[in-house]
Amino acid sequence: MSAKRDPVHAEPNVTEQDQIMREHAGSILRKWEEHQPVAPFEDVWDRYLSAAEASRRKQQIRNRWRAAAATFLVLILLGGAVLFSSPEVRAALSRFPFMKMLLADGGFEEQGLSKIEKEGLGVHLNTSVIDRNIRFTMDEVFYDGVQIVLNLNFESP
Amino acid sequence: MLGLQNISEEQARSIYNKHSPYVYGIALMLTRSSPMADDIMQETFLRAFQKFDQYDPSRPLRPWLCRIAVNLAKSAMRKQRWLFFQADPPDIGDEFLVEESMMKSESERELWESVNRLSAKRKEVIILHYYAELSLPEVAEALHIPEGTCKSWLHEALKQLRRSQTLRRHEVRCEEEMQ
Repeated sequence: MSAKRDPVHAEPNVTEQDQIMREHAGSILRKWEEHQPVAPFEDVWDRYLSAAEASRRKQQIRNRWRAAAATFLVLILLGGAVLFSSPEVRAALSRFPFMKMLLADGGFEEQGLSKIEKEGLGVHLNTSVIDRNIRFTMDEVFYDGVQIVLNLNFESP
Repeated sequence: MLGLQNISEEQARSIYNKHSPYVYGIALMLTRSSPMADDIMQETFLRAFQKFDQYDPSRPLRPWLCRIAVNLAKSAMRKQRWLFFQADPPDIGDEFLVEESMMKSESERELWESVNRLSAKRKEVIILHYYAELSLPEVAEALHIPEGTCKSWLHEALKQLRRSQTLRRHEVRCEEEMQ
């Protein structure tokens, strides 16, 4: 005796449904192909050109800021080098306790810089930034909760 | 110069003319709103032109466009749901008529209604696989889901569609018998 198949609750035939879906989609896709877009191409292209122009301007502004920052850094470093090499400036600056420590014979040596280097207490970064052929590298950083030591390298052609 | 070097106007025009009805259709099916579908279609091409350097020409273009359109449609629908909670529901106008005008016969409309009754996940898989003609790996990539999950959702969706169609036919037969 064969059981009567319940058309509502029987397990659906997925393969057959797959075929129905393909036919349905095929007929709709053919109608889509005839559809004309509401917005003409020129509208989209104009928006694309405006967006590209805005993006180009933003990039230019960003580049200017980078160049300004690099120039500022160069001036600071050059200025610092000039100031520290002059005996008069060194004498004047040594009135300040921090500068006195900095300018003392051996510089930071008394503060244990050689210890940091020998025992490898700093964190090696070797992070570089190049802008207009000027390379600025941060080699190493040390921080003990009180003082911070940065080992920087600056190269220009 | 950003973007401008990537695609020429003629190339962009050819892509737009060839694929805009397809992208519009996908967006319309996903959102069921013709103004939204139109916005998504334009935004899809704008993004595609801007990111054209990221497109791999050895692969078909439609799945790539479709992926952009799906992401935009999802984001637009999320935004609309949020607006719905915040204020009055948007005026849908004749949106449903536009989409249904593509389906002339009663059986086509019935099947489409069944597709729309599916959960969002299952409906997306059905639309992308059958109507957008993407392969299962492409659907999985577009929806950011594993291929196995995609297969499982498709199977469940087909089962549910089959069941609802069988049920509908059964109801029609009962109505005819009663008359």
